[in-house]
Amino acid sequence: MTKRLKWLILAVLLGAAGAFASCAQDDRDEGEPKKGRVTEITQPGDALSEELMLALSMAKNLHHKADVYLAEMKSDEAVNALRQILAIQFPEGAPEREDVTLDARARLAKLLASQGKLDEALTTTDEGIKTATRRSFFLANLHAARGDILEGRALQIEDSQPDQAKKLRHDAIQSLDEAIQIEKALLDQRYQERSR
Amino acid sequence: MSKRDDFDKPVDDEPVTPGEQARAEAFGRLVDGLLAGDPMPPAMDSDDRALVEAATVVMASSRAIEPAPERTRRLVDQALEAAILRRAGAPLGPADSGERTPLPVSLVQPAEDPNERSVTDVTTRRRRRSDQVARALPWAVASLAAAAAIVLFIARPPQKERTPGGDETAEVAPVRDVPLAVSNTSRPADPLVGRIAKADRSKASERIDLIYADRLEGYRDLTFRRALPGEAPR
Repeated sequence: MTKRLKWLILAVLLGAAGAFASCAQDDRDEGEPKKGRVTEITQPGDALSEELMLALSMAKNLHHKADVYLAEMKSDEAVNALRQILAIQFPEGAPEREDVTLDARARLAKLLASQGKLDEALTTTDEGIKTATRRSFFLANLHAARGDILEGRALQIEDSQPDQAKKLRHDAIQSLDEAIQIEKALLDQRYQERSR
Repeated sequence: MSKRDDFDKPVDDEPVTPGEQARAEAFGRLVDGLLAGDPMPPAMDSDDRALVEAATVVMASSRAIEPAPERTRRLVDQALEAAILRRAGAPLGPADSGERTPLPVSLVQPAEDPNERSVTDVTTRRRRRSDQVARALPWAVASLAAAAAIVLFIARPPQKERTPGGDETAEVAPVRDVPLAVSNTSRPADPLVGRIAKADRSKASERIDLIYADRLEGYRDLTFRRALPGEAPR
């Protein structure tokens, strides 16, 4: 009987200890920060994340999709594919987002201009320039694309509206100057970084 | 003339009288009744008693004896019990040496009801065994519960992190803090792409390929270093 009682006490103690330890662990998990055990939210500009890689992958595939449509002379479908790049949701504050969308806008604007949709092309470039937050080669490329579109528009109306054409050429030069200034600043910055 | 003298006479000498016939029939019924288990009449002539005993012996030796059903059942139970005990490792009797085992005395002269006795012996052992199991079962369950609690505590499943949205939960693998190299960070793509010439203005597809490949390399490096301890950033 004494032996049975010992076993009973041992079993109860073990069971109670296990249940108590399990509950205690849960409480501790809720009370303390889970350092090193859970995913830490990637801050903008911090580590590369899976979300960023997925967004970049989508942009890459949509660009290739547009390539295929253009190879089949389906420019409207190519335009749609490029517009989808502008709607990709990147991680908040990721610098790649601005670069990728500005580049896609430049390509889209050129494609719209080749379709004769110059106003739509200008809108596309202007919206991209407005949303840009920093100077980059992609922004300079977009300014240059805008200058090209304005130049083409001026050529269209040169005979019918010479004054308006002149103004458009002036705007084109301004856009190209803007692109040149951005590129110059970035090149100077690079040279400074290399000289350090 | 006595009855013994009547039987001692030659059979073919005289024809059977109706009285003798009736007496023989009554005697036959008496013997049949005795063989069927009827009690012996309380008062009987000594000659008739001798005749009945002789007739009983003759009848018993001339046909097979069928024991009573309860006795048959008891014998079967006893045989089964002996076989079970022998299989369970009970001490072997002389029957195992090839000789026939004589029935125990209790089988011949049961002290109590034979049906009760034979069946109860087997069921008693079964009941004893089930009692042992029933006694040990709570302890086994308690021990298993304690062991399971310990195992669950030691080998806990991955934590489920509650998402900020509320109800949905997602399993998240633990992530180590590792030092980040520049290639492991999200950053502008200008240094990678460089100046975009006029001829390359529409080659955004090539540029996105370049950006994606560069970021994928940094992301894989980061993932591997998080998984492998002691790895330094490249």
